[in-house]
Amino acid sequence: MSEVYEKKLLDKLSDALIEGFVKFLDKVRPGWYKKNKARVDEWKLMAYALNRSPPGLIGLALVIVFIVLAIIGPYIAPFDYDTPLTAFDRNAYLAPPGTVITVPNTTAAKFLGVKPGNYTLLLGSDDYGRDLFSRILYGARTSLIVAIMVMLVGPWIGILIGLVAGYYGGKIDEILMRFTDIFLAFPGLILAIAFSAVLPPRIQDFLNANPAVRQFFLSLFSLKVQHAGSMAYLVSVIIALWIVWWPGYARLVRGLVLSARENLYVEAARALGVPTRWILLRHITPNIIGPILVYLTLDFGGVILTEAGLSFLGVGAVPPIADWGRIINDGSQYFPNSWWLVFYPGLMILLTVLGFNLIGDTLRDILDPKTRRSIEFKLKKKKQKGEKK
Amino acid sequence: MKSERQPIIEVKDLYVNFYTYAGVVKAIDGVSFTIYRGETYCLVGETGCGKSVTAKSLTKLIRPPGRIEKGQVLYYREPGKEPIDLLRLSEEELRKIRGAEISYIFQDPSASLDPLYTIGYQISETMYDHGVISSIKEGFLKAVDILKSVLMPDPETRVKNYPHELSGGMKQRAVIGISLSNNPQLVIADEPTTALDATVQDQIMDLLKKLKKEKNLTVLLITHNMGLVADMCDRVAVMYAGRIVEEADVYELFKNPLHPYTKALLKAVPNPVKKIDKLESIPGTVPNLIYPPPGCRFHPRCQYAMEKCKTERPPEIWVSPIHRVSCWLYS
Repeated sequence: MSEVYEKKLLDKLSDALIEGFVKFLDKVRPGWYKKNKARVDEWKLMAYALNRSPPGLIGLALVIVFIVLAIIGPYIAPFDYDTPLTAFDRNAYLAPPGTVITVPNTTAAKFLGVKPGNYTLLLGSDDYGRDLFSRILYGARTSLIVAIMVMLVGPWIGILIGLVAGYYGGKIDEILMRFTDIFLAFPGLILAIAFSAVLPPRIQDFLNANPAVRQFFLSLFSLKVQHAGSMAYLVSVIIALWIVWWPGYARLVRGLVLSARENLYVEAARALGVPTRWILLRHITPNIIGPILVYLTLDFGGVILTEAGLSFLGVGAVPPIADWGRIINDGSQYFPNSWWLVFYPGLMILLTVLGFNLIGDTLRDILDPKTRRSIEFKLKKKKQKGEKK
Repeated sequence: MKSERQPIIEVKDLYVNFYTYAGVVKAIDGVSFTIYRGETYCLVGETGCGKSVTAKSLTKLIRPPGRIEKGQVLYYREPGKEPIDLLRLSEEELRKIRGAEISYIFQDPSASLDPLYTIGYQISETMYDHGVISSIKEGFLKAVDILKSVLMPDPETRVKNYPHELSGGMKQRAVIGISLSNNPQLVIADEPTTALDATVQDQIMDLLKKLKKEKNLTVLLITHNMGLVADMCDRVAVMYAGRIVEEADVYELFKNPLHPYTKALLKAVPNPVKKIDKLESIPGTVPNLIYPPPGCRFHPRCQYAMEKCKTERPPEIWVSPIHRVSCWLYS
């Protein structure tokens, strides 16, 4: 790469995206752009930083593909996640990728909601004759929802505990951190296994008692009503991961707060009578949010991996729910003859987790103002050179 | 005049310890003083003698591992009325006093402003948190007036600036603006000019003087700069190793310093009138406050030290109504 940057195609694209967003904001709240001009410029520089990091771009692409698949997957899947194609065509039993099967015009086909005709099983099928491609698409949805639900709650418990422990120090710190240590001392996966094994009956009762909640989760996971009982296992995994996912964050945030609270402006805020909750919220949290954000992004992949791991071990998703870990577990008994049952879901897990890791790593650079400044200077230098010519 | 003086803060027998891994640091060891309404009271002393800790103890800002062991800080909210002991108040009651009635100006203006918020926001925040204004937006209008009162150039623009966009002097003006935004009675200025260069220092001190006059403030000024003391203060307390060794009216102290430490300190200040080849320094170093010297804490460095100084703590001796000293030489 040359010493001095110039605006690449990607930069122009990101500029256009940001400007479009800003125009929209300006319409909703007139005068917004004028007030936040500096902020918008900073956004653009962040985008340039991302554009200059190939791993980041790859990560972003992988993550976007994953999210798009998870959102539209259930709608574009050729079959439902539980359609046993062996009912129509004997070839569908453990069919290798590329097998063509025929669905005849029978009542069974009507009952299962499958249109008659010829289908190519892109990624093959499993021992029930379920289309692996469809199941992987549904599995993306499962993974995304579990990951989002875990990340919406788990880390924040830790962040809250870390904030309080770090800020108050002394005995409160000691009590909270020893409590955290207890959870850290337990291997997270084992604890999660224990919880996901114990919780399902209670979750089932709870879901039966609250049809609205049940319906909400069913539509989130894109599952059929008759599988609500199996879904309880997924919900238990979410809760189990809440319980084991926070200690790392408590440690991280406590450390960050310990250094952030020594800033004189925190002392000054205290001396001027700013209430503690506002000091934590306004003056400490925003100043430590960068590392937390990086950690959250990296952990997104971690949650997906752990959930797949739990399902692989047999405590997470139960049949017939489509879940990458579960598909691998079910397919492992036919390995290596029916390699596709293990290979494709495994590849999906690999690519998704890799994507989140790459983007998390890049985020660290993007959030660092120094990176942005160096890019800004290099861009300006180029401009000046161009003008001289 | 003397009999009419109303106390605003009365510190009685204050002890503050810091519990560190190396041992217990006896940072403040029986400090007592009174600040009267409308005066500028100075705490002078070298680095680490406990000036800032004393100031922070007034509103219980000491954090663990520090602990206020005993003592009283009597705060006369209104002249002539019963005082309240600040050290016995709950954190919430103290919070309402901090920033509203007793306010602080810290040493380093660059560090005492949060880099993430505009100056206007930070001025508004203090007012908002004390219920003076009902929204931050309202505060921005008031912030312009406040910045005007601290002589900030171009306040309408500056109010929307972030701290990094201001110079050091402007930042300190903003900090002063923040701490005076709620019209406090007492302002504790903890080395307000240490981080600034000499010309700006002068401007800031002029500003403080002006504001003090306008708003009828009481100021507790903490400094190690003897020139500043002579310029600003009405009464001075000289601190050494966690104790007040001498307290006097500012003229009295400069004319007639009694404690050997004060004398040595004054000799270490360059004098523009008298030409000397070399400034005198005090031999030895500040004692380690984990194992402070017994008796008078200054005795290892004192050229007049007697046997008694090594074992017994010198009492407070009032040599005149405006001058007290803790030294065996005057008993």
